[in-house]
Amino acid sequence: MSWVAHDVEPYVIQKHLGKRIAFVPLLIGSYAPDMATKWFVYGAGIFGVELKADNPAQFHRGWPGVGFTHSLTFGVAVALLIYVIWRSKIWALSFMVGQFAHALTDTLDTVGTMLFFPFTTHLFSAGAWAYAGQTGRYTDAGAYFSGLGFVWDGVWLVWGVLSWRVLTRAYFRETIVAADPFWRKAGLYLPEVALLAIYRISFFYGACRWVAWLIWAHVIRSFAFDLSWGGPKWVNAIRSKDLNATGCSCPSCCSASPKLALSLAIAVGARVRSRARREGAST
Amino acid sequence: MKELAVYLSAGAVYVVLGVAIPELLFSWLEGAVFLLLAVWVLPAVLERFR
Repeated sequence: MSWVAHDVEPYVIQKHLGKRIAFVPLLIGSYAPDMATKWFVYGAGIFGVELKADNPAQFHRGWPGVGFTHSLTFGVAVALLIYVIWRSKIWALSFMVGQFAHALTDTLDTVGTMLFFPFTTHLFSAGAWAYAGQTGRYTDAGAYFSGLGFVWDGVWLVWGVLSWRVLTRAYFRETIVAADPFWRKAGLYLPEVALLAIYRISFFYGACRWVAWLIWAHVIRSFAFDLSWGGPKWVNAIRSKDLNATGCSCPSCCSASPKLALSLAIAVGARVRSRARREGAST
Repeated sequence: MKELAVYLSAGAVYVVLGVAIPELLFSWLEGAVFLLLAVWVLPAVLERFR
């Protein structure tokens, strides 16, 4: 999971797509996969009753579970629904782009996402940082802000700062308001200063949280930095192979997959080398 | 520049509050309310009393 990237990605995407995208559905799409489910991953107390998933990672990213919210298919399905209900191509497309950004970003942790559900329950995972949602939100925060996760968020923040023009009043007037009637309607009830604050909220929230969590994790608490791939190693990370009880039978999930990949790489390398030799001999 | 200063000040206060009470950092809605108060409501109230 990502703690800040989902807040900032929409601003960077906005910079590149300009009036071809509507910001509000883009942001909703970016939050959508976790919007109604994350509380159950960490657990919440209601009237003294603790509600929490028995297997948080399985619930969050797997099947059975709500892992389908992190699939590209989910983005397409909701976008189609938006189009059918509101007949707005730009809203449908913007939601889909935002949701895709979330689903793809979350492939970077050790659990990954079922990008092509329901066609396959394979979890696509690069394994760059530990998925530790099952440990509770404070340990998860400590782990995330000690591994490569916070570096990834930092990349998006820097990219967001470099895209600073999207945060200006002039850009808001000329591009954001022009692309989406939502802002003109909201402008009937709220002054521009409030609309601007609403537009900038997620960037503000993401940037401040990134700084605050880093201070909390390493100054207030003493979580150890571990920028190794798949780290931090001090936390019990859940991995894609631990989920989806029935398992995935695709080649990359089979135990033979590393050997298969190595054999394939050697075969391709040998072929390229022999071709280069033959070409060298003929010239 | 004045607008940027208001946002940066609001950000600094939010970071301090967040570090002191990390529970605040989990709620997007509370962050949104905080920002609206800091950059819209509070300056408007101060302006009225000037």
